[in-house]
Amino acid sequence: MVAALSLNAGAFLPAETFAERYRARGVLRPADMPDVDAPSAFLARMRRRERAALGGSVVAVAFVALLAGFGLGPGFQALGFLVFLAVFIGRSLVLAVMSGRETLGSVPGGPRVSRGQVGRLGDHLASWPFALLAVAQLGFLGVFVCAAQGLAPALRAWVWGAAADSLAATAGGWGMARWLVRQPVAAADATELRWSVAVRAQDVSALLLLGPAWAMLVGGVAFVDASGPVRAGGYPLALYVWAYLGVFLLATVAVAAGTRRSTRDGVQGVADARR
Amino acid sequence: MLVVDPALPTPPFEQLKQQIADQRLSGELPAGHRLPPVRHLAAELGLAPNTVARAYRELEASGVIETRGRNGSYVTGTRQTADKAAAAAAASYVATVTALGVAPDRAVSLVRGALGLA
Repeated sequence: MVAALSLNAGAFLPAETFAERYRARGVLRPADMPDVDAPSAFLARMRRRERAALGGSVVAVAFVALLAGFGLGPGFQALGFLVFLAVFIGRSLVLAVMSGRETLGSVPGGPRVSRGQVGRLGDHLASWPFALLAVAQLGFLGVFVCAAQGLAPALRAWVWGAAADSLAATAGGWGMARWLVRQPVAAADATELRWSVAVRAQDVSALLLLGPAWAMLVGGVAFVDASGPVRAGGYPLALYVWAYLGVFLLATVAVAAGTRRSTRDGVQGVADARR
Repeated sequence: MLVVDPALPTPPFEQLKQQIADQRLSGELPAGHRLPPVRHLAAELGLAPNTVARAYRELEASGVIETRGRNGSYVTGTRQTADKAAAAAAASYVATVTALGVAPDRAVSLVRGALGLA
């Protein structure tokens, strides 16, 4: 629950503390953001986004609670991770939709800027860590689904269900990411444009991480006593879970490094990449 | 980057037209650069789609951009951008022939041959 709240911490921060995230030398500023102060209009937009994202997380958690109430949720330790995932998914989807529709809420009048191009996935991030992650996800799920044949029926059903859902989430995440990068970006000047592009890169990354993060739900059964001494390829299932987690973390670090580079290069970097 | 300020006395479509034309000349918008669809650019610049469509139409009429059916609108090349691209290709050729140890006279005669001037 603490982790889930920390994801939406922006919705609870006082205005001054919130603004620290978006200052050139703000102590709370993420490493992959532009090194200039964000304009106030952008801050107001981010504030609205955070509140809406909190709402999205609450709705997703309520949905999970409803499922659990009807006995459709996992009957073991995976419930905690499922709640965390619901927070992440609810937040990411709301942020993606708001980001894609940000120009609709713009106040008419005043100067506006455009990059003069339609965005591509490669403009915002390096695609290879996500491709690596998708391959790792497929391999991990392949091993797990095969091993699940030896599990108790309830756990086996969980593995199949979670595996299918996570693959659908990966496909949906890529589809939505492609949609998002093509949506108009709202900005009144070059600085706001840099911030908008950087935040969009974050939103795109979150969408691409949905499915791979979801796949970890499958691994919950590896830590259930009732699952018995199930092994795949001679190794305990938990080993595969930890290996997948390792790849996931490595890919996340690579994503962060790639995003930082594209953000540092800024709009000019995007333009150069086109040439 | 394209900037439109409705507070300026110049009409927005004229601002847009002028910037695309200027950036094409300066090379900031290279030949073959695909411009955003009308609705996309209109949303980013807070303009009516008709305003952007008018700017695109006039730019197309003056040869600054070309529309390739449903594939969108593209910036056409200029003498300057063609010269710049040719200079880059020449520099690349020089680097290659130097690495191969080809004598300058021979390298030039090869170019003349390729151009059909030999």
